[in-house]
Amino acid sequence: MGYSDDELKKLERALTEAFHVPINRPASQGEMARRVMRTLRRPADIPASGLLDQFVWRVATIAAAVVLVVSMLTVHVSRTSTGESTLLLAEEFETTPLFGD
Amino acid sequence: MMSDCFTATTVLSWSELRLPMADESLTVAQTAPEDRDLLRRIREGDTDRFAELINRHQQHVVRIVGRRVPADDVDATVHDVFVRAYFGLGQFSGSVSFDHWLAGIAVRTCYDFWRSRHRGERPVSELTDSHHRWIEQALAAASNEEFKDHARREEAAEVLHWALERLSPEHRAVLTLVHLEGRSIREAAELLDWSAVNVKVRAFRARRALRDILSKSSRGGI
Repeated sequence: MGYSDDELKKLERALTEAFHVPINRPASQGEMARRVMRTLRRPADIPASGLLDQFVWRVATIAAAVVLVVSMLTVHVSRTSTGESTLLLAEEFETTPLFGD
Repeated sequence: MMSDCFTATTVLSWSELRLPMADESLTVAQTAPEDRDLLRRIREGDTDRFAELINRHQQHVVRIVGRRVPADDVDATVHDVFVRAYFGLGQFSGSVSFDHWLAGIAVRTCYDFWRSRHRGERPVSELTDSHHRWIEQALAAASNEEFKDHARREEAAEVLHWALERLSPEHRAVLTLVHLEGRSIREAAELLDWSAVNVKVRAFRARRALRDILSKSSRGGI
């Protein structure tokens, strides 16, 4: 048995209230600045996971786009060549007398 | 530092409940002159001034991050926010306040935190008897005061954490911004750097997913 719609709304309200309860978190004012500045002075420590993710996604997107363009071109070229051969065949039929006259 | 920021009241879409949004200033129209001066100096090469910017905005970032990631991960996430901000300074145009721009980076860093965690871990926490009791008491609360008292209890935060943990990172990010914080679709879209349509669709689905999760949490199950 789940909750009724009214009960769910009430529960959502309670959770919203809970979200807004102030968090008492002592912030060490100078310490964070020191840590960040230390990281910035040593770029090797910079977390690269986000940047790596972005890079991988970008490369994958570009690769997918290239594959798409190449396959479209291939289809286009093969259709064109098929069209040409049909045309040539048609011309050949038209120019060749059927009964040798 | 942030005490002079105005307090906005926003109508929450799911409950007709008005909550003061004192914690996170919704928008501060322009970059403060002190910030502008510091940014100018940093761009001119005086990079050590970034430490002053961190000190000025640390509380603001901690408030945003503190509501979104587990307590043990707040410091590391705040650190990442400022590192990202430093490397993104070139993209800061000044058309919005520095606070607001930083809030966007903080929201996206928290979203990335949950994305990386979502890949590796499955939620493990379960509701205990005390959580079920809290839900029953919250539902039975007769007065508004009683209701708010229940919401301030530790179990409330734990149930919220339990429910959010079961949402996808995308749903979690949108639900937090739109439904819990009461931000507009446009604002959430700006902060997440997503399209408004995307946020709107996800906000709808996220709420539906949350309701499903809560429904299944009842003692009798589905």
